[in-house]
Amino acid sequence: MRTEELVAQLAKGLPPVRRLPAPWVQALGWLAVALCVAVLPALYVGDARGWRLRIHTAFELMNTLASLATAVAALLAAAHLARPDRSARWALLPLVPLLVWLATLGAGCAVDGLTLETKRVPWRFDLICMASIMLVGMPTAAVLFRLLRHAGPVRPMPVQLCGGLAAAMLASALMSLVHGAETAPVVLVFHGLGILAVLGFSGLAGRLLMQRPALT
Amino acid sequence: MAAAQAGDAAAYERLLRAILPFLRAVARRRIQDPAEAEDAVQDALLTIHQLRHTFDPGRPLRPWIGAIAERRAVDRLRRHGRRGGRELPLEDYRETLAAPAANAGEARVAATELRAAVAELPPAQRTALALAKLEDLPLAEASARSGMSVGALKVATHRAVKALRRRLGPEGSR
Repeated sequence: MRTEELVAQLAKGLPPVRRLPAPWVQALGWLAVALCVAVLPALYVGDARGWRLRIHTAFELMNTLASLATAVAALLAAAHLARPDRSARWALLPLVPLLVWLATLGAGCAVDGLTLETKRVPWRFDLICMASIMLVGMPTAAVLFRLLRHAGPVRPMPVQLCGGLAAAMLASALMSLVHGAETAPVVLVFHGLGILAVLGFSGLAGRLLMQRPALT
Repeated sequence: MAAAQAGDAAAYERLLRAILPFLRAVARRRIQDPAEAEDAVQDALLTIHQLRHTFDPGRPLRPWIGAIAERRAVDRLRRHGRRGGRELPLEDYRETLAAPAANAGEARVAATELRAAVAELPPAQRTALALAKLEDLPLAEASARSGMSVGALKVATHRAVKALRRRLGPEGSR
């Protein structure tokens, strides 16, 4: 088909479309949905561990805050990257809070190691923590990819990465609040595995949940 | 674009026609093959159509269109590269002798011979052959275009084919 014919065909019987809301509005909408999804697992873990504030040290506080900041930054980055005309540099936004999160993990481990004050929580909680991150992270990531499905034809990979990071870090931050941000290596391994599982899911399912480009 | 988002088909068609040179410039900057570049332009048009709800009228249109056109051109190149990696041109394997002229010439010689034979036909037969056989027009239309009657066209075409057959037929019949 000639290009001019295609133009005429596309314009024929053109239906009106509803404009997408601004990226930050989409981000707020997703945060609301994600918090609703997180309520049940958070209640379960919080109940299982006994309700009390589980953030004891400055490192734990910084770690949880950095995790939340990474989630929000990655979410905003994903929402902007999903628009064709936004700068690819949005992908750098979550980098700083992510580095702070990693640094506080490492520093917390070192302090624990030096003072030998780490108290092991039972294995059951590690597994519950990992499962909860996956249980919250995967469906919320899926919701985010459907919300940002317009990224599919233009910039799917960075949106998958940032979107997956947002879902994983939000789940991780919420679990830290109810489960405790313990920095013992075993806890971190399970925590990290949960986050990696959500990122892996984002890599596999993200593309399927987004729009495919219409090609000639 | 804002009018197009509201369903104004005429404004949309005007816009798409106006951006065609820009889309072609983006595609040709990346893709050398003109046909492949034009396919990338069509891909970009389809993506613009698919994503028209993502455009924010408060922002400039050019970067939005440019990003889509770039992406489709790069995708085309990648797909072409992948296909090129899996496929091998058959022409190279049909050759049996090292000298390039030894194998590839046959079709070219036949085409040249046919062109020469057609050029030697009388003008009326040449016109009749071109319209009725090569362009495959209905006799009425061929007659209108050539100014010859339908009967004269039929006769001229028949004679042209016969002349060509005589000249290009099997060795024995020449």
